[in-house]
Amino acid sequence: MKAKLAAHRPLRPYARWIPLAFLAPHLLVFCCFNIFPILTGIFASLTKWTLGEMPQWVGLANYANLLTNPESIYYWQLRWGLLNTVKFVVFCVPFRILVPLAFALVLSSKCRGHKVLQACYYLPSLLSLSVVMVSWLYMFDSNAGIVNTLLGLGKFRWTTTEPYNWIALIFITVWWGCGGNLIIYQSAIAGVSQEILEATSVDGANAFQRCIHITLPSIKFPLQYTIITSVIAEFGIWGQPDMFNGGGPTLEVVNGVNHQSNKMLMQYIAESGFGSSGVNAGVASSMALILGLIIFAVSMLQFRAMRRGND
Amino acid sequence: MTGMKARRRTPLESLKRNWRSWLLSLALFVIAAIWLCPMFFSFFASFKTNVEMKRYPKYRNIVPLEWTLENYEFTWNNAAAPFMNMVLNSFIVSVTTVVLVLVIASMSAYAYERLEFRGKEKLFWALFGLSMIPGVVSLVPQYYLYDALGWTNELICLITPYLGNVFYIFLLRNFMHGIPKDLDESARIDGANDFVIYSRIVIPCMVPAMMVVALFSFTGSWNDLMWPSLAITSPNKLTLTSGIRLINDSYGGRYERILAACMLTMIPTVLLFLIARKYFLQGLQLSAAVKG
Repeated sequence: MKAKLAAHRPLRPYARWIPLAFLAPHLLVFCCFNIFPILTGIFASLTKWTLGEMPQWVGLANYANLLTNPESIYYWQLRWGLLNTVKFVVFCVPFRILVPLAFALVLSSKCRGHKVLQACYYLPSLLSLSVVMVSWLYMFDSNAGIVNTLLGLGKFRWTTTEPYNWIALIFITVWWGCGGNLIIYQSAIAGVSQEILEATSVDGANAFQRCIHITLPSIKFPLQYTIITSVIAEFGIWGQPDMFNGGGPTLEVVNGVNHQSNKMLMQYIAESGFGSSGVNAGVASSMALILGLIIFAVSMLQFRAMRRGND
Repeated sequence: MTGMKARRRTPLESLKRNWRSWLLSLALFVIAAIWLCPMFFSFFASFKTNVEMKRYPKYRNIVPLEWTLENYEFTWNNAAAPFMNMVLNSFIVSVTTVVLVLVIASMSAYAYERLEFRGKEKLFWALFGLSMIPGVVSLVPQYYLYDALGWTNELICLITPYLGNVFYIFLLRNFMHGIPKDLDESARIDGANDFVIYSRIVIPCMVPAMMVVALFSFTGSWNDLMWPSLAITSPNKLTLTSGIRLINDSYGGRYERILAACMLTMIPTVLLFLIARKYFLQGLQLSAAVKG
């Protein structure tokens, strides 16, 4: 009966325009508000574009200035911004992986209250960045701050002293970003075969050996996923330094540009793209495209891994 | 393994047998308390008077000696940073985003999962690849685009950039794949068209995945800091998250007042988490599982 019905039914029991009708809303918003700005960004990076004027085509001049011309202020902005961002990624990402991983491994013993503990460790990730930053600014404050009082540091200035501003920024970022990775690791660890763990335990492997040789290799893919997403997220860092100290103390001045201790590339992009003085959306777009290419290269690694997993 | 037996023993016996597990729990709770101490300190500080805040290093009192609601009253009534407006803006933006994202993403997911058309997979993966272009590339032109449309300082410019999310479609599509097709096929034989199948049959089965997408897009929109801070200049149109940034700049280091605003800002997301904790955790696991 069923086969008979199927044979009589046309291959597509609906009109040709039906799929389009379902896709149209997404395609429309995606093209207007995602693709179009990206294309404009690529175009703008090849122009000189100051506020209130039409963009003027300058070809690759922006990139030439950014990459090779030490006379240009943007050369120094890109250089210092990118160096600081890379420095931040290199020092921050290992902790963004290791801290939640340590929590997840300890919580996997299902000790008493592990669900409450999980919620406690996850909680900071629910807060918005501005709330997180205000709380920590208060903690690190040089006058009213709890950190200074507890550590007996007097009126130590966390926001303006290198390298302590970096330590504080990384600490805050790890604290804020711990939750997501923690949950991912916990669910991955829960899927590790109990039989193998017990068998090796009988064979005399201790908890540390079991963790290194069995648990960690079995959660390889979630680990890779979180490393890549964390790298991508930290390359776009803006809010933490913006609210913590606006970029930190000036280390040197070259060509009228302040080399600030922890000012990130995203801050320079936002400043030259939107700032009240010396707006140049063209160069800002070029800088954004360079940062975007770096992030894109990292995400392609993930994309490839995903398609492999899906096929 | 020992849990079942331990529950039948008295606590003291269980403590003797499993002292290591108890010790571990205790240590973890101490770490959790330290981990959350910025939240406790901030909470109590928001009820302190200005005098007491300044005296903190001397007396080292965490809990206010004298509780006051003055900071909350100030935040609520401060004309320079209209708090009530920010609350409203945040809710309007987040709720609209969630509703539109759910409709748009689930319709697309239905087309990719349940309908056949030429170049389906190619289109899907092309969109997915395009969506991986980092947002920073479109940041600056996006601002000028909305400026040209006259949408800067309008709430709509905080909604539209997040509607085209392809990952939500991916998530919903994967979930829809697990829903048996028997139901839609029998409905189709009974003469139901695709819009009926989509809205009456598929969507009701999708509630768990829709919850996950709703929570993600709500918290994402509520907590978004950079774009509203750059796109919105009028205090009346700021959302809470970006408003806190303004408040932080304009209250002149009066932490007790800024923190009072922060405490009010975090209520919705924390409340949502407590109510829908299951879906939050599921969503995070789901996103890692399909991507990893």
